[in-house]
Amino acid sequence: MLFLDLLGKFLTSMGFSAFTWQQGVMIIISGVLIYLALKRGFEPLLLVPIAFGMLLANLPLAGLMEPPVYKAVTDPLTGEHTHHLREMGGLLYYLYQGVKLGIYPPLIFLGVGAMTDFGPLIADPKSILLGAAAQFGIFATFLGALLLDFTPGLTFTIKEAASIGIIGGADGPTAIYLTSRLAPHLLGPIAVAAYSYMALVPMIQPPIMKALTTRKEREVVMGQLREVTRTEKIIFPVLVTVVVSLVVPAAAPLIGMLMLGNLFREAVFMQPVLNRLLKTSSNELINIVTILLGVTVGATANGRLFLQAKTLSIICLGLAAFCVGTASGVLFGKLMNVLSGGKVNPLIGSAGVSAVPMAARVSQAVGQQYNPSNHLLMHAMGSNVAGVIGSAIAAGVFIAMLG
Amino acid sequence: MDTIAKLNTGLIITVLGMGIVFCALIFLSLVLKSMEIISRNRHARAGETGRVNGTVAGPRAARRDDTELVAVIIAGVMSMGEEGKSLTVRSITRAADGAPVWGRAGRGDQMANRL
Repeated sequence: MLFLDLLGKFLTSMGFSAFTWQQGVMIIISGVLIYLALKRGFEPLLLVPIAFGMLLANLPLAGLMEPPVYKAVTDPLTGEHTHHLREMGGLLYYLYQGVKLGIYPPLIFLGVGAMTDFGPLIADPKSILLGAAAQFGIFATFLGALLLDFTPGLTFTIKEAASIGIIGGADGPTAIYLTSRLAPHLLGPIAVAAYSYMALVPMIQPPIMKALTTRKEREVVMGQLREVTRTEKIIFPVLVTVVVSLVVPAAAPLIGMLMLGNLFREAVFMQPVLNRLLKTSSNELINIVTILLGVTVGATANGRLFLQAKTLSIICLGLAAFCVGTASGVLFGKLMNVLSGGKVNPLIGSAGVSAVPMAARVSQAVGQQYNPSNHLLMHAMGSNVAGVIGSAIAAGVFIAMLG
Repeated sequence: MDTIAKLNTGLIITVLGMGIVFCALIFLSLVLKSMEIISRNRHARAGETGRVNGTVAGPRAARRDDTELVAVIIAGVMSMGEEGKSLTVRSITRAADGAPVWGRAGRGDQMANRL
């Protein structure tokens, strides 16, 4: 009898006994994402941990994302109410606190800043405007999500719509940071959409760029960028942090860490000892945080929340966000071309989305198709990195108005 | 909140949001432009001061730079297996750099990483 009791207890503790069809579908979806990441090269750095986190969170009875269970007790002598821990939370629940408390995305930005050269932006400050124009994709998608109210069953709150809109910034850490603040239950689909579309930038952008520009515009050769002094490169991160944080304090965690990383990079020639911090922030630290962020964000995609009509609409709106962002950047580039007397190639406008450096490389590649001696990369990098700052400001605006 | 009220709020946030993003980045670009002007003026003034003081200092400074340059080039040539040979540098001429832009950028990146 004891044998049967123990066997029965073990059988009911197996995952098979509590397996639901939603968990099965999510495990299949995570398999597809792993395939896309490994075989097709879709942003494997983030998509592999996200997909695996999704797999782990949908394993029945594993409880990796379960919160701790407390028991309320009353002290018989004093009558005081306290909580005693009855059951520990799951591994990924505790690791997820870095996302919930807004720690991981700024640390990723620290590494991004340490690896980014803002020289092209400093050399040509007007390329910042292209970074601003491309952020229209964020707000257009935000409105698009609200317009879905007219479709039955696809109602988003304003906070959810803002979280969906930020996909248009093409900036993973910013999207995760904003969504964890405004609509944490949508983290899974928004992260998957953001990173999948970032990987598809070379496919999404060129048709839009070609449709909105003339051949003559695509062949415009831009002048050589001036040389930027090291002093300017050191002053830049401090300046940007102060200016942006005064305008939008809610963007300070993202912009501050981005610029701290950049300061390490640019100041290392003056104080070589900073090379230790530079190496750590651009290697070990960003790699560790990437793993923790990816796995825990993926783990928020449990079947009950993910498998809804809303998720499909988020995926579609995410694509619209990228397209509108690209289009608005190119159209603003055309305007700048007219106002500058033909000196600005509109193709660099598409690099205003923050997918660094992929979007800049796409501008270079499309420009060279029409003029093989045209080198737009550095100019496009200016608007590309401006887009990173622009999307962080847009996220700060949403947090300030809706948080 | 009903649909029309949400759309109204959304439109206001869109207009304000884009306006704030543009204003913040325009302000930033103006600050960067003024930083460029200040930096250019400082270099121009440093150049003029150098020229004013330069009749004695200028040639001496140029000679010092050439000596260092010659020492670096000889060290580079020696490191290519020419130790023990006696070398006389008669002239130094900058060769045309036929490397493509990306090649130059990559070379600069590698040098910066070594520092």
